[in-house]
Amino acid sequence: MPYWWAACFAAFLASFICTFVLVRFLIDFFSRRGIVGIDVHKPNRPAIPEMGGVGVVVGVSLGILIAVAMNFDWLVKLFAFLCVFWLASIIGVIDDLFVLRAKIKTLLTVLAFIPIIVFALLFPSEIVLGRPVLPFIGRLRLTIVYWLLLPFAIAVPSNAVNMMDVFNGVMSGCTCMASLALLIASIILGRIEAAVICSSLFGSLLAFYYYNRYPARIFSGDVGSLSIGAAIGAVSIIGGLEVVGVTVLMPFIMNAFHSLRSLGGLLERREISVRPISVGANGVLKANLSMEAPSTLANLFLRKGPATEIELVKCYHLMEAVSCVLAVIVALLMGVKF
Amino acid sequence: MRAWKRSFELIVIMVIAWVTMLIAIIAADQLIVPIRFPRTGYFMVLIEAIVKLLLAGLIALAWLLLWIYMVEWYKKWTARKFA
Repeated sequence: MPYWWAACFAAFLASFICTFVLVRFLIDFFSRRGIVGIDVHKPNRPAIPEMGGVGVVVGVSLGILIAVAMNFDWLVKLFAFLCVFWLASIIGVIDDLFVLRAKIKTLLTVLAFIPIIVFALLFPSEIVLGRPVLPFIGRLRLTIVYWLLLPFAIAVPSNAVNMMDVFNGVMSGCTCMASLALLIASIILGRIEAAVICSSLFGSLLAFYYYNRYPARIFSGDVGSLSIGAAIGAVSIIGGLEVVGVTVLMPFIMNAFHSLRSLGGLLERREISVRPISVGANGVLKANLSMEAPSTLANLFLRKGPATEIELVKCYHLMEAVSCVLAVIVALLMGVKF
Repeated sequence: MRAWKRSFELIVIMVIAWVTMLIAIIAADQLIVPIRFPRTGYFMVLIEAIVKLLLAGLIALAWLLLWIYMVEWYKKWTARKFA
């Protein structure tokens, strides 16, 4: 077995076990301290402990540190990733505890790309920016456009994942599939450091999904959703998997883009007056069929008729599964040139 | 209603958005990247970069408009058929 396979497996196992054990403890810890959120899509509106994403942050970090200990050649890329990941999780913790305004939160996540720039300037041979590989075209040399888009490379996935963390197991399940697709793509393209990061992310998200799936025993909070989104953005840049990253995030981008367009800007959940969906007395979810209703994926799915939360979650997972297949196809096409 | 039935049209919209994104990237590479202005100084280099950026922006805008159009069509179609 090649050495990097062992590192990937160790990162996966460590992050899985760490998150699995830690989240079980966090459920009691946050419940006792009253750090809870209301599950508004259940008829009895139960209080569920929040900030379970702390378990993901610790699990992913442990998995990556174990991989670094196995091979110091990966230190720069993995540490650059960890800096972005930790920065996004700090923003998430602040948002969970003090509730930031939507525009402030987005602005802060834009700043999370700074560690990548710093590491790219300090170690230009290790982290190469502005040379994305595209399917059918090959490696590009983007001197202006790439740098203009870079500030959004962390902010967009971070906030898009955050905006889709609305139903039990949707965010954790979809990002778990996304990290698996990124892992397969990085193995296909021989991006070893990206494979190690994705293994750790996949292990941790798989363990977290166990607790977050319907009916959820813990929510990830913004600490989880912002950091996981930032992680997907960071691994896409560091591993040179930009187009694959965009493809795995298609449902997230679709949800965020069409919601923002129909709302006319960045708004906090509490600031939205027209709700996209409503919950019936029996827990059945219904779409707001008005053309002014925000075009969230939930609204779009439910426009065909009411559904239970579990049915809706399956729709999200199915859509993400399709985008993951497309992402693997992109990875396979990246070796094809006209 | 089964999950695939409920999400079929939206998945088709997503796949069309993905295919057109790849087409837009290839179009930008084949049509915009080869554009060359006579390089008589830094000003012309700057103008060339700005023109390329604007043209790439136009392609991106066309792609986004197509995506918006498809979702609006879906909303109207579901309002007509399932309301």
